[in-house]
Amino acid sequence: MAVTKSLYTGAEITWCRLCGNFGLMSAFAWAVEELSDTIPLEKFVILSGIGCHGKIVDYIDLNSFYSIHGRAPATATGIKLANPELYPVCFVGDGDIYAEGVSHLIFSAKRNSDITVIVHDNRSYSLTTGQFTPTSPSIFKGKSTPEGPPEDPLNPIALMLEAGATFVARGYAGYTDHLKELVKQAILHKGFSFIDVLQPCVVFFNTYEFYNQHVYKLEDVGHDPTDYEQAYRRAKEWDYNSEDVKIPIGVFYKTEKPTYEERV
Amino acid sequence: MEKTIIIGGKAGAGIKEAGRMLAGVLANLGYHVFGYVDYPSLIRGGHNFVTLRFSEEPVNSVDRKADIIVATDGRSIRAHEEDAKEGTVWLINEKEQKEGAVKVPFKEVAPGFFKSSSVLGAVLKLLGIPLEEGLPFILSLPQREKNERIYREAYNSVDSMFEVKRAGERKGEIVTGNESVALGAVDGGLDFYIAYPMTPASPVLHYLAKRKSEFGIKVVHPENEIGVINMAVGVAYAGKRSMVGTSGGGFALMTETLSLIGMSETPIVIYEAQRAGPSTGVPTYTAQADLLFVTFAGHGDFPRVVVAPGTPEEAYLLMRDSLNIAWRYQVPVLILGDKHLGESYFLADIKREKVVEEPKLWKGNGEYRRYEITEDGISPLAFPGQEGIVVKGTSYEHDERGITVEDAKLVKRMQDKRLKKGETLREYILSREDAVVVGGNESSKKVIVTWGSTWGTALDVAKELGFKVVRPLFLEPFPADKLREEIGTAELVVSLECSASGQFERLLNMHGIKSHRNIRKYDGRPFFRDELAEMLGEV
Repeated sequence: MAVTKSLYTGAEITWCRLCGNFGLMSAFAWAVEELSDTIPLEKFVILSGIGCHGKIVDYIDLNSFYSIHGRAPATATGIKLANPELYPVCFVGDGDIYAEGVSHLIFSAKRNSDITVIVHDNRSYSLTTGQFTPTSPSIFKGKSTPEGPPEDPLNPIALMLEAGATFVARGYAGYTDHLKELVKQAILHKGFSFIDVLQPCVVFFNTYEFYNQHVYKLEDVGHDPTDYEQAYRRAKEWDYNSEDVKIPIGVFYKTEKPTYEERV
Repeated sequence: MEKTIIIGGKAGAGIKEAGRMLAGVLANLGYHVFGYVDYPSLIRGGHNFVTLRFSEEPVNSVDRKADIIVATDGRSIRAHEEDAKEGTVWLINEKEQKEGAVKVPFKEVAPGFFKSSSVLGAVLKLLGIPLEEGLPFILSLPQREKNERIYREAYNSVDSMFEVKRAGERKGEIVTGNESVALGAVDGGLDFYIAYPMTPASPVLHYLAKRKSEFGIKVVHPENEIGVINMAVGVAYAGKRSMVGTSGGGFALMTETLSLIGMSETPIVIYEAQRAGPSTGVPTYTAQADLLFVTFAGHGDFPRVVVAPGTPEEAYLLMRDSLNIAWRYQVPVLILGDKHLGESYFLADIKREKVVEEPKLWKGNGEYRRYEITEDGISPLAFPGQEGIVVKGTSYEHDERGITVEDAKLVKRMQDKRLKKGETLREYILSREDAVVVGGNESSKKVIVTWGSTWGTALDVAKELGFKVVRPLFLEPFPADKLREEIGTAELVVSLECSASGQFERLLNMHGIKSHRNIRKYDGRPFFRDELAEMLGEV
């Protein structure tokens, strides 16, 4: 736990031992600390949806709005519209935002709302004890689909590229240092920033070993994040279902566009 | 002089504009005027009509049967046959045939203002109103020269059959309920109007979008009603006043967030303009059948205000108050209107004044607690961005800081805090002098109890038939004692509403108030004066 005293509320942390959420929270807290010279702490507003991920707003002592299932990006846009000096960062779950709240996600990207969305993508509804989500693979035998999901997973990276997001990245909760850099870039990016974070759930879908073996960093292969076509090809390398492919992490795409809050 | 005029024609033919211009001319001449607007859910074609009633005495409704019927196309003649009575004067398009009708060259000129100039010209001449009275309206139209030419041509083609003389000073402006809602919001300090299009609330969206720079507000149209209400929550959490507008179906989508508003104690105003349901229903027609839905919407217990204006003046004042009440008590305030209030033309004297009350703000030092427990249940507000403090809003049950709790004692403590706030709010609402409004023959032992826009017709009939009319302006908290007091020892209590199942009657019963008779209308149309007089005559 890299959360320092000043950023920790003191609330009892109820995530499971070795939960991927710890790595994600550490990376975020670390990023906030490093950014605090440029962005005063009171300018951050963290939001969450509902699920294990959501507890993060109880743990981090920053302004927060603990929203409802799937709706955090809409609330964050309202916050940014009302006070453009604030930096809204949404922590959302894969079930939360790719199912219940997918319209708000797509439209936040389409609008280029100047907010950051960080998805705790454990590919399972875990707080509700293990059902399949929009990014669960065919092998995931959830409680609502004991034979595996009767539908294929969604590729959120490709979805966000298509929807108009101006910063699209994927991180891995196991690589805290790398994730911290992505979070910093996302927060500093003017416009809609999106990070899908591969976050193992130790109880319902323990993917640590799988990701350790398959993940590679885009910056190690000379990926040019300003090239949309290249970004799209990289996004399509992994369909969230295949097990025999390499999984790119890092910044897929980054561009500049006027923000929604400037245009409204 | 009192007359009812129907103007009918195709959608898109400027029928509404013609009605509004005529209402404007009559208002300028010192008359009281009311306009009912009837249009189907389509863009071009079909059949639209406006019914105007004007008189030297106040008018708040129209009659079903008209003295003058202006039919700008053949369909309008057929559509209004049954609205004619003995002696009704018909103005018809020169291409059509009808025995005894006056033929008028109804011309189409500019897009959006097709026949309105010729309608105005013909009707003014028929009523014996000087040509000059209509000119300011005609000259404000696009393609003014063309419009003036056909206005004059139509005016000169008709003989005067009535003598509508000046009836004193002008008594107010022609406005719609929706415009009054919009102005009330602006004067209550609105910063953001957020809405997804839905009839009959959309005119508020259009009105504010067109004038947002003048009013210094932002107008936002998001992806759906769920996005709308959650965006509004974000705006309010960050310290700006937000309001949303919708109808029943859109409000249904918002109810999940209504509970979030209750739990997070976010000040939000929701304008719900009812239309005829259930479901898609009859989108461009009126009803009062979302009453129980709005009053009880949302999961869990939390305080709210439901207020139902019945006139444009009330719509303006209550809308302005609603923003202040929402912020004072940190609750959702629901303005329950309907298509009839929202889109009808009223003569109203609205005295605009900005009234933006400062809410209870946190002025302390040290640690800020968003949900601090206080004597009146209202926690001081602070907003994110202030140095040295952390503002935690939440949908979960929480402690004073806003951190999630599940402990039995803490859960009850915070629920009690919100109940306490509800009591503080209740005391305030019930102490308002306008919690219940009365009219008609106030000493009568025959009482009509009604709510919302049905007030207008009830009032007009009450004078004629000797009824007292009693109406709660607030439906939650419900002013039962005041209502009971006003009903007093009435020998006949008639409840009146536009709901098939009698929702208002049920609400009255729930508060121990009984009516002897319940008159319901549920065909999407408001009560017409002559129709209601007949219904009450049978009671």
